[in-house]
Amino acid sequence: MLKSLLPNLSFKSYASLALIAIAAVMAAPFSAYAQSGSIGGRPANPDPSNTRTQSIFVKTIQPNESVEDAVEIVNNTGNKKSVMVYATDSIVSSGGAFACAQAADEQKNVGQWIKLSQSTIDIDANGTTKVPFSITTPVNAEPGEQNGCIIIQEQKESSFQSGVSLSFRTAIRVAILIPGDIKKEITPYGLSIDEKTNKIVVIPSVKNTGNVSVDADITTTIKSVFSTIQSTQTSTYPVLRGEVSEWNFEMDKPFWGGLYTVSFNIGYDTSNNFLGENKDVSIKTIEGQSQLIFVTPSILAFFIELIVLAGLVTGAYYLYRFIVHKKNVKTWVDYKVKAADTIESIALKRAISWKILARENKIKAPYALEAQQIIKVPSQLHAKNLPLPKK
Amino acid sequence: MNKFIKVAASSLLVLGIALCITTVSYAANNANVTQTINSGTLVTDIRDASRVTVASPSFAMAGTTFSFNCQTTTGVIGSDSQRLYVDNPGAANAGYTLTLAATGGATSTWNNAGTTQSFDYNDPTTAGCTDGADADAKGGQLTVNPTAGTLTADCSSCTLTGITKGASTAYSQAVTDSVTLLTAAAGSDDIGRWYLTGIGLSQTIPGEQPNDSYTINLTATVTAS
Repeated sequence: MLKSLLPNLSFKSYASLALIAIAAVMAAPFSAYAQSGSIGGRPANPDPSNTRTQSIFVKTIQPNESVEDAVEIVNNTGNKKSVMVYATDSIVSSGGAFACAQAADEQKNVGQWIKLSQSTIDIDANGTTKVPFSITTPVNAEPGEQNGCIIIQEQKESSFQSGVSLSFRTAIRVAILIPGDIKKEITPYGLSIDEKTNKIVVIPSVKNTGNVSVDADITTTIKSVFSTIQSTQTSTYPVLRGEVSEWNFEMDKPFWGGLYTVSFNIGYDTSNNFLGENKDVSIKTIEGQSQLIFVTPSILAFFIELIVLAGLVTGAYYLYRFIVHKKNVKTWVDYKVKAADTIESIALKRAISWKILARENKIKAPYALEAQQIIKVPSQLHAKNLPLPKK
Repeated sequence: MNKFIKVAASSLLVLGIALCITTVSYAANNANVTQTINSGTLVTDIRDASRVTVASPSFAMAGTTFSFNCQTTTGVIGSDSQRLYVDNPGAANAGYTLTLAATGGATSTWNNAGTTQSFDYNDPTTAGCTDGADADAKGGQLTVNPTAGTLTADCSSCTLTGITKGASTAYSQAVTDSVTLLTAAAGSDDIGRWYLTGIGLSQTIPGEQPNDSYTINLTATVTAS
């Protein structure tokens, strides 16, 4: 029965096919692990009503109060890993961005408030584990937002390597709102512009003058002098309390070059919503600084502009000549050429360049005149009022 | 005997095919097949061109010769074989930042193998050429220039929209302890994979620094906003 189902192949062919099939089956489960990956984490108990809590911890805690939660640590690799988990204060990175202090730094704020139940854990390949922690705010916790981090980092032995040795870690922001007198306010701080070969880098900066962070919608715009929008970009970034934040918006350079106005504006929710909340949103828009800049055209645009300019100049020249010719035709009078006349002698008498005289009468080289020939010349009255032409 | 082996081989072939089939899920007429794909986690690491993680990445600075005067050496973080990756597999839905700071904190230094010789990475005095007002007694300053680098989106659905590279910045103790490499806005792709190459490094080395091999440990941190 089995033999009738199979094609009539040699023994070697059957054996090879069987081995290939077995190898394929055995390799299948292992190929899933042949991927890159790292160690990461996320909040273990996100609030379903606030999607932001899927990626960061958002807590409102009274002074001298404790809350409990957990961080889920994920081993994305195919190997068992030993992982460090620890809390740090937040720091401000260059450009006002959110960053986390190092484990070696002394933790003075939120990094000290967070107590994790474990500091190192072993996680199986592609496994996850939850590490509970508590946050206890001090009695004198200042109203407003306080930030810290929960860090997840693979434990590794370090060895001496000349140059820069890099380590990696994933941090989860812990944003804590201490209720009280909350001030939510940001103001435009500055605008700088850096022209690159193909891009214009627009760098708006914004200052947070309140005591909570603000998610600001920053819109940068490049307009022509006729107020038509050439390029615009909008992005939402957090502006941390008390800090100045700036961002590099790489915008397309206007193809034709010329004068342009670069500006930005800020939009943010002034309601009492804390991070990720969306109740009774009230957006306030503030105009930021603007600058008039000269943009160099692209190489292609430059040559096109050069050709157009040359065409315009040429056109203007011919238009001028046409107008002069029309005027001459109206005011010039007929003159009958005498035997001794040359074009130069007539031109001298009429106080005009012989070249103009030749051109207006369409006399070509060698500019010979025949007796009795009728040509147009300026009137005697006109000639008297003009200086003698250069030869 | 030969017939027996043929039948055995055929049986193995059929068994192999059957096993292959069992590893693939087929929707049956009378069963609902459901599958949930959970969001992953935000991670950063160094990978090669085949996206395999590099276990101990390091980036050499250009070699210099002993000098009685202050000098500058340069280097680059990120090459085609050592790409600085950020994966956001639906983990950060309001953006993220990628920052770079000294692992040992603001009092870190470049050290030789025996830590008998060192120089600073965050002393702004005369652009790092002399020791200044910071806590240690070493000169030297490291500048990181992410704008010199190239950011590449490495998946079919992700773009560079809303992701900005940080400005060129020098470390300065207690003023700039961390340099921003990338800032992803809330509107950037929630699912994406990107890598940076060619991040510029420039280190001023104080005059009369003894010749030796030096290292500094830096940590790249990716944080959901």
